[in-house]
Amino acid sequence: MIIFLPVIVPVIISFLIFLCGEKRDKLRYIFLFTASIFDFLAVIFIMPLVLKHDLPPLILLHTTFFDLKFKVDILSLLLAVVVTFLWIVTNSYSIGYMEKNHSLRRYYTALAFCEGAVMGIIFAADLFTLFVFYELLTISVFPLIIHEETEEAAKAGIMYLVYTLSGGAMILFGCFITYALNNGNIEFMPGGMPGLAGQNKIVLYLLFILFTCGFGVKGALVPLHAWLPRAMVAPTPISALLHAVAVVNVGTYGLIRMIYNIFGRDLFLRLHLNTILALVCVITVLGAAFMAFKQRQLKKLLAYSTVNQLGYVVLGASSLNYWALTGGLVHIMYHSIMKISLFYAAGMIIRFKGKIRIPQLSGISKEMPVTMACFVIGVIGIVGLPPMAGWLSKWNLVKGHLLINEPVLASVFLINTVIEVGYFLPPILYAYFGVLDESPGSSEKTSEAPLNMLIPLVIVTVLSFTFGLFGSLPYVLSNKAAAELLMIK
Amino acid sequence: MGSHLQVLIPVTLILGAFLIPILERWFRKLLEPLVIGITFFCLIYSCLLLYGIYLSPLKVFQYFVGFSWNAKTLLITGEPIGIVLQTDLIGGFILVLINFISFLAAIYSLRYVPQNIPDGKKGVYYTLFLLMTAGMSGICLTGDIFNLYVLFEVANLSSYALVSIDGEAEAVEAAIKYLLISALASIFIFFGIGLLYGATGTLNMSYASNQIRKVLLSGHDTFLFSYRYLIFASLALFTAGFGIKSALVPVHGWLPDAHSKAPSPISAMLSGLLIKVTGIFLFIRFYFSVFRIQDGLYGDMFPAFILSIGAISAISGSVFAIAQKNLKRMLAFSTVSQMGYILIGIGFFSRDGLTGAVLHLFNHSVMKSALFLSAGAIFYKTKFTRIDELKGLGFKMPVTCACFTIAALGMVGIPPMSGFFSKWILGIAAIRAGFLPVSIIFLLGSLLNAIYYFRVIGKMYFFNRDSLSVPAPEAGMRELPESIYIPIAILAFAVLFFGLGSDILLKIIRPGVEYLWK
Amino acid sequence: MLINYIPLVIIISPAIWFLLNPFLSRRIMHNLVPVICAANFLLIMSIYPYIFSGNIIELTIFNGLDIELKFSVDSFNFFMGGISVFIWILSSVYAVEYQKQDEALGRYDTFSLLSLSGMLGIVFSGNLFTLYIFFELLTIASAVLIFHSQTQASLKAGLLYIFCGVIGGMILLLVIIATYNYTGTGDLSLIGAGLKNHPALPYIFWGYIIGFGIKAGLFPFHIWLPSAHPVAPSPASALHSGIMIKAGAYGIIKVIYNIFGKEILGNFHSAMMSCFLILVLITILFGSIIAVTQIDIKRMLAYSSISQIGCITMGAVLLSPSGLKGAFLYIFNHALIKSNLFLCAGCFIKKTGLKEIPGLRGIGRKMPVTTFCFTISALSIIGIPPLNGFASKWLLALGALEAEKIGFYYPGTGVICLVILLISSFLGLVYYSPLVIGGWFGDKDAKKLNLSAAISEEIKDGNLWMIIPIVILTFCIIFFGIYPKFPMSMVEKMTAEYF
Repeated sequence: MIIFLPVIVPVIISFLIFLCGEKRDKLRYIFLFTASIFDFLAVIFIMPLVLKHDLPPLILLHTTFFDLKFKVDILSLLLAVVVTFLWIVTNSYSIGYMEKNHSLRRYYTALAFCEGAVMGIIFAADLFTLFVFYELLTISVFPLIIHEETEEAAKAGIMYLVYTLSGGAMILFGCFITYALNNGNIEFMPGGMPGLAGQNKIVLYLLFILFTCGFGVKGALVPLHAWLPRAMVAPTPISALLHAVAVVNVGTYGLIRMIYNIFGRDLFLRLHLNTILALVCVITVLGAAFMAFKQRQLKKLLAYSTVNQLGYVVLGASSLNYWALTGGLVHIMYHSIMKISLFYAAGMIIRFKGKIRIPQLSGISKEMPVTMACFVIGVIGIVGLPPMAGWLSKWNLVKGHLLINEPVLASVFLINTVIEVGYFLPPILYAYFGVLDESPGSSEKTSEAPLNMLIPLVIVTVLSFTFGLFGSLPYVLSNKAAAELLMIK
Repeated sequence: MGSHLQVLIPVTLILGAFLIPILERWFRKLLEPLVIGITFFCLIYSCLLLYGIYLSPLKVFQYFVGFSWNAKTLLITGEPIGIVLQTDLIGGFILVLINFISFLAAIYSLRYVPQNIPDGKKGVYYTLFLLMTAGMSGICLTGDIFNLYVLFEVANLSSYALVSIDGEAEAVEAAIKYLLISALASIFIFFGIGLLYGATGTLNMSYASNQIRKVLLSGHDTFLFSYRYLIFASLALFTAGFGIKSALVPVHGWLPDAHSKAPSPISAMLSGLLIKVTGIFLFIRFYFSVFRIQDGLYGDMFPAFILSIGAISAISGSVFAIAQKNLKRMLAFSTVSQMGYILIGIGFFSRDGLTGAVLHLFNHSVMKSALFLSAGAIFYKTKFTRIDELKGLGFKMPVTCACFTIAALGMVGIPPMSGFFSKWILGIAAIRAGFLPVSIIFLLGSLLNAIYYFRVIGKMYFFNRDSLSVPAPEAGMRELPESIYIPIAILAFAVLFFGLGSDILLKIIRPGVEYLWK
Repeated sequence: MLINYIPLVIIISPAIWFLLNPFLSRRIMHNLVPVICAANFLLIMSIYPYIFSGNIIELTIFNGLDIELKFSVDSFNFFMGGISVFIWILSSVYAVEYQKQDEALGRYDTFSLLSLSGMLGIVFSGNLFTLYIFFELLTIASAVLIFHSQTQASLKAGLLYIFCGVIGGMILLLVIIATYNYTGTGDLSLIGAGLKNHPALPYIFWGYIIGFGIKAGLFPFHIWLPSAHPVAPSPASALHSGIMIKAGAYGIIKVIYNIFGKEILGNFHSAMMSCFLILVLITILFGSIIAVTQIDIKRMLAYSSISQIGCITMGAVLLSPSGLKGAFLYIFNHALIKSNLFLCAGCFIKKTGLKEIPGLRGIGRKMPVTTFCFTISALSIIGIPPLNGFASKWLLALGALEAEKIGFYYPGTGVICLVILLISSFLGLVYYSPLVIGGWFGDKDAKKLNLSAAISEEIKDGNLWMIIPIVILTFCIIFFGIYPKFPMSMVEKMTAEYF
């Protein structure tokens, strides 16, 4: 039952938050933190059990047509740790950011609910359960995207729905095909589903396309990424948490499950699907990088950078190599931590200085020195320069791709780094070396955001720094997860 | 085994219907309590009946009207004289559904009817309401084809009158259209019954089914062989008749007008119940209990034909719905497409397919009633009927719009709403029956559904609360009377609950389906 | 052993200097920079006896990964570290006065010290992983120094620099990881023959050469250098030109002698090495020729640096003991000379506001000390005995002839090298003489300075803080010219490790 608690507790608490009403702020925040801290503790609690393979799967519902079944393996654990941790931090940030905003009840209800949905996806043991929570997440993110209730938000919301629901339908059809091919068993199997092996190639390719497109929407693979930058109209905590951490990681998580637990490594290799997926990823990485160049809004820039980085993860996963997979998995965690710090910093600038576009950032480093310092550290991490966390994942990714004799793919990471430097330099140059904006309202005085927003930012920044220097927990977890997925001891 | 409840339910309803004109004359205030009471008791009765059937070893209740069932008087064919009420699990299940929805519609009518229906017609409204419920309940209960036809006509005739009850020209026109096309369906069905009688010599379903089996298995040279053409013809007539009643696509023209022009509780009844009981349920009853197509004696073409009709309806119904500007008309077209889904489920002629079809029938009933009642509530409050008038309504009528949204998400098929689970089961059934590509229909339908339902939801919520194009309701005034929003809320809750709770429903439906294969 | 941690302390202490920021005023912080550097220098010098009694300091920090941070100090590393910190002290003393009016003083100091950390990290690194980390740190930190003056030109130059730096870094990363994969280790002292017969050897070799060559400013990877060095504040230019490009040269030497080994390269890949040698020779000529055409004094010095770094690399590529000795000595001498030149140029620019060489005619009368030091340095870099530049050029020439004898290259290669070295020296004479001769013997007329008479009167040598480093450097240039025993002893020792 301990597996199910992290899923259901936030859902229940979201109803409690709903019942709190619009006015009772304190009570609402207590609930909010209860949910997220509980989840984090629960995940920490099950961690040793999972690592010892001591946690039996939980069958919540069993019918002739579907099971509601949960299981935690190391890959789930890895995602769960990062999601639950960042959720706590973001809650704190959110409270500061959303102060005096409207419709807070709706906002926090949806926010708490999302955590349950994400945990459901991560802990799902079969495709059906995954799909149920996947769609739940789709729907529960929606009120957060349109929170501003502007025309632009509405359009972004519609676009989001069109993309994700179409993706959902594709996954559903994929589920059906899997069900048909694997004799009615859609549970994730280590090493792939046995029923798929001898099937017609065209059907398998179709299945691959369906899952790749389906999960690729949330994972923002390039032709399917367009909703992500548009969804940046959402309040920044949402952009940070959902569009840099939860939603997009869920997409890549789905892709990893597809590769290793549905198709399985051998079948994937035999059908040359790894090459196709790698090609898509290369397009994702480089395409997003070039698109990021054109961006003049800070948050959109970050969104494209997210698309870009997610390509790393999937590329690592599609390599089927231990080292590259480790790099990809550890990049899930590292990227989340680093990208969230960038979003936090961008959010503070937007919220307290009203500066949205990059040229407006002139001289912001004098006004918000700590924020901008964290931003710069985050950028160095995202770009993947030592000694920040992002670099370790890149090291492993490049290493893995060189080991499987793919120097071209390996160099994609390096080319991308150069491009990333290019598009991340303007905000930094404006902030630190730009001429101070003469317009009224900008002063040289230091005026940082309130502490409940600054502390989360500093925490994640320090984490990205320490993880870079001292490898540690994320790296160990990803190593084990990679070994588990590839079934090597 | 049998139960007096089988008689009690329709009789109570019919008695109530006849009592109403009297009450209207002298005890006007008792009118509504009586209707709500009757429907409530019928709901309890039907639940008890279903429970009884569920517990019985044979999973069926038989009741012989006009005879003592201990001393059966048999005809030459071996069948009992008189009317046999034969209720299996599926019939009982639909019966509960009918009484559940009509109970909620009765509560809803409490405040809706005085506002929207001329004062003098209240008695007529409730009389017809109870008669329609009685007719539908009877259809589920009976085991006799002729009896079934009578009750079928009772339900239909009441519905014609109910559509035009507010006396507006458009409604009358819609009712006449409905009446004419439905009459055609009745004629088909009547001829079908005649041919069936000619071929089998009986109107008792189980005996007729045995006879049909005999005929179909008979050799070329036997006397019975020639009867098979009669049977085929009657099957064709039934299919056409029920197809019209289910508003499958080439013959769906009457539905959008009739369902959208009727008062909202009646729209909910029509779309949620009548179309299913007089259309889809009779498909199930005749195909599975009488003709026993599931035994595979009719060749492969027939299931394929049913499947393709279903697929056409499912897709084109949604396509039509996208073009609609009127909310209730859109909902009506959506019904057409959902009928297609259910027919596809039937068209597999497999246990899983039928399970999915019945479950989807139930889910769709609940969802569509919720949608129509919500549309009615919106109309009650604001007099809006067009979709583009709904801008920002989500902030003015939060409960109604939330329920509408839940039901709409269910229609689209998004977990954890119940609609998803029945679609999942239909998809699985398609796979198990070897029709994997058919499952695309469900997905495509879902996407089309998403287009038009999210357009409405979008209008409700996307626009700034200040852009509402109507005068806002006065401050302090409640959103709606309880009698209007409680039924909607109950239905919305049911949509949520029977998602992951569909297990409970499956426990009833599965044995019912198994019974049909015996 | 405690001494093993000294390199770590030396590397980290400049980097965490800025943590004092909340406690001390900006002015005190600024004045503390030379103190920090001096302390560092003392620390380095304290391990001098240990290193030169033949020991190697090694320190491994486990990173929780399969890869580890490793520092090691042998005589070559020590030599590079010592000269770097020494120049850093002088540059920061100079900056005490030079950067006084700077609005963003803290930024300059922080990143100057971070660059020092990066530089020391590179030269003290024991494996490729560590080397790469500090390589990137140096790139980023020194880029900030280029951006520092916040003009349009500095933005452009900085962008170019950071792009070239990152591209170089990425190529380096690729080949470093490839090295790890193929040899199983990145330990600089162990790689040796692991790559010997690997088919990818040429690719990896060129990867390293491009990666380090961009840092060093070898033709054709030099494009960032002429625009980047002049726009930085002069003390930073001195560091860039005097020290940081040596990180590239250091890398190339390590690549040739540690990673691949001179036997492998010389015996099996001499064609490839010839190509590289040609590239280096082009660098020497190219730098000198372009320098002749320059009017901007700092740009001229920058091109001169390109030419000189070519000479250093040539010494290494010749694969002969004297050549390597020459390269080592050249690193030492060039660091002293080029920093001095940039510091002097900084004085000129600061005092007159002019950057053009023709504008500085007659400056010798106004700023005699500075001009004198400049002249000595210029003469030294051209290679006039008895200044220190001569010795290194002499050794390079010997090396070229030795290479002829060893026979890794085609016959005649050494002679060509010698000729090009001489041409380059001659061209040095050509491009340094306008300033030197014009400075001393130009018109007395202040109008030629393009300045008003009033301001012209005020031009004189900078104050003590700016003069002291220049004078010290000039003294070193003369002293080590006459008495080259100290650097030569080290150079002999280092060369002995490789031959």
